[in-house]
Amino acid sequence: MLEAGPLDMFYGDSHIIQGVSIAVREGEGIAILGRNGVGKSTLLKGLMAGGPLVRGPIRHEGAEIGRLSNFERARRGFGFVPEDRRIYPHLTVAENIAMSGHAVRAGAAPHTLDEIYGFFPMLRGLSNRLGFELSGGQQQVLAIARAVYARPGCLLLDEPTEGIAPVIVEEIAERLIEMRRASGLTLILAEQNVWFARACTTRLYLLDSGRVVFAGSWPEFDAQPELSARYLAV
Amino acid sequence: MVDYVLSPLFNGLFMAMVVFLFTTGLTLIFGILRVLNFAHGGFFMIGAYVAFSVVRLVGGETSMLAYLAISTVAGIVVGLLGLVVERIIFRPLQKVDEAYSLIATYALLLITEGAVKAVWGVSFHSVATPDLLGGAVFAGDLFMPTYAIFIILVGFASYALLEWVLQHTDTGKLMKSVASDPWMAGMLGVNVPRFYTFIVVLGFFLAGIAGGLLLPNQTLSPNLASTFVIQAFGALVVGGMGNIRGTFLAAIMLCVIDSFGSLLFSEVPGLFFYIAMTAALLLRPQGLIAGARL
Ligand SMILES: Nc1ncnc2c1ncn2[C@@H]1O[C@H](COP(=O)(O)OP(=O)(O)OP(=O)(O)O)[C@@H](O)[C@H]1O
Ligand SMILES: [Mg+2]
Repeated sequence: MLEAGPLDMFYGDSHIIQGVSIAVREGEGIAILGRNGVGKSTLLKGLMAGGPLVRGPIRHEGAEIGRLSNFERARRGFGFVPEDRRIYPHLTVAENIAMSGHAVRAGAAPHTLDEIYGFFPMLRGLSNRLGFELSGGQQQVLAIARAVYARPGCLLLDEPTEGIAPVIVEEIAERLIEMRRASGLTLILAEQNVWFARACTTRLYLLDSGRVVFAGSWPEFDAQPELSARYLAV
Repeated sequence: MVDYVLSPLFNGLFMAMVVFLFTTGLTLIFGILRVLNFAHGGFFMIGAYVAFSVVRLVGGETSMLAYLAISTVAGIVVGLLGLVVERIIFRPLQKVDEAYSLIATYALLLITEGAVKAVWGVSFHSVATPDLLGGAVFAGDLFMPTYAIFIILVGFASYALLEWVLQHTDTGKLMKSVASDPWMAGMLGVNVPRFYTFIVVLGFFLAGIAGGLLLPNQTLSPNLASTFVIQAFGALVVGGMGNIRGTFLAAIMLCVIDSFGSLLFSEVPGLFFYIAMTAALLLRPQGLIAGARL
C-alpha cells in the first residue's frame, strides 16, 4: 500500500535520511529499528510531511503523495502517533480522541467512542479527564486511540513504548496485534524495544546513521545476532 | 466621591471597552497565527470609513438599527479584505521568520493609510451618534453618556460571547487546539491553512465592525489608524500575548489606572497608561494570563 524511496531527508543542511527505501503491503506490520538519533522519527515525520525536507518518491495505493500536506495525508488514511504524543492539554480524553475525526476519509465514518473504549478499556473511566491530568502511559494509550478513531488504513507509531510501564507496553502490544488481525490495519512502527517490535510486526528495517543496514524478516534478523549487538545494544 | 471615584471609573471602563473592541481581532490573529498585525489599526480605520460612506449614502440618517447594520456591513467589507490579505501576505509569512511579519504588516499599514487618503481624502469627518445613544444618564451627580454606556455593554457582551465560544463550542476548542499545536492538528486531519484563513477573516471582520461601532466617537482622518495602537499593543502584551481574557482584563486595568492617574496629573494625558503598563510587565513579564493561548 505504501512504497517509498529511495528517500533523502534534510533538516537545514543536515542530511539525516540517506537513500532509504521502505515498502509495506496492505495489512502488513513493519518495524523501523535503530539507536537514538539514527533517524527513525525523521523518517516517520517525512512520510507524514511533518518537518524535514523530503526528496524522493512516496507512493500510496498507486498515487504519488509526496506533494500532499500533512492533513491531506491524514485524510488518505494515515494515522500518526508522534514520539512526544502531543495530547491536547485543554481537551478531555473524549475530545482528544474526536480531534482525529477531521481525518476521516470521504464517505467513511469514524469509530464510536464506545468502540474505542472497548479497544482501550483503561481510557473509559478517564473520558472526562483533561489531557494534562494524564500520566505518560495514559497519554500514550490516548495518542494511539486518537489515531485509531479515524479508522486509518495505516498507523505510524513512533516509539510508543518509550518511558512506559511494562504492563502498559504489553497491553498496547495486545491491542495492536488484535487490531491488525481484526481490521487488517497496516503498521509502521519505529522502536528500540525489540520485544515489542517483534510482537507487533513481521519484518524490520534496521537503521544506522540515516541508512538501512538490514532489511528482512524477524527470523532472518535472528540468524545474524551480530546485527543486534552492533546496531541496537546500548 | 463622584468626581474622584465613580466618574474616573466610568471613563476608564469606557476607554477600556473601546480598546478591547479595537483589539479583539488583533488578539485572535496573534493568538492563533502568531502574526503581529501592525496593519490592524489600518483596517479598523477602513471599517470606520466604510461605515461613514454608507451613512452618507443613506443620507445621514442614523437610527439605532441602521447604526448596527452599517457596522456589520463595515465588518463584512473588512472581512473580505482580510481574505485577500491572508492569501497574499499572511500565508507566505507562515513560512518565514517572525521578524518579516513585522516589516510586511507595517508596510501594509502604510498601504491602508495611502488607500484611505486616495479614496476618502485627507479632510476630517465625523458622524452623529445614533438618536437612541445621543443622550446621557445621570446617576446622582454621575454623568454617563448613553453612547459610553452602550459601548461598555457591547464590550462586556463581546467578551462574554468570545469566551463562551472559546470554552464551550467545538469551533472554539478547535481554535485553542490549532493555536496551541497546529502541527498535530494537521496530523489529525485539520486543514490548518484553511482554518487560518477563517481566523484572519474573522479577525478583520471584528476590526471592521469595531470601526463602525466606534465611528460616532471618533474624528475620521487617515490618522485614525494609529490612534489606539499604543493602547492595543499595551493590552495585548500585558494580557499575555494573544489571550482574549488577558487582553480584556489588561484593557480594564490599564485604562482604569490611566483614568485615575489623569486626575492627579492631567498635564500629560496617557502618562499613567505607560506607568501601569511598565509596572505590570515588571511584575508579570509573562502577562496577566501567562502560557494560555486564546
Ligand atoms: N527538528 C530538527 N532539526 C534539526 N535536526 C534534527 C531535528 N530533529 C532531529 N534532528 C536530528 O536528526 C537526527 C535524527 O533524529 P531522529 O529524531 O530522527 O532520531 P531517532 O532515531 O528518532 O532517535 P530517538 O530514538 O532518540 O527518538 C539527529 O541527529 C537529530 O539531532
Ligand atoms: Mg525518535
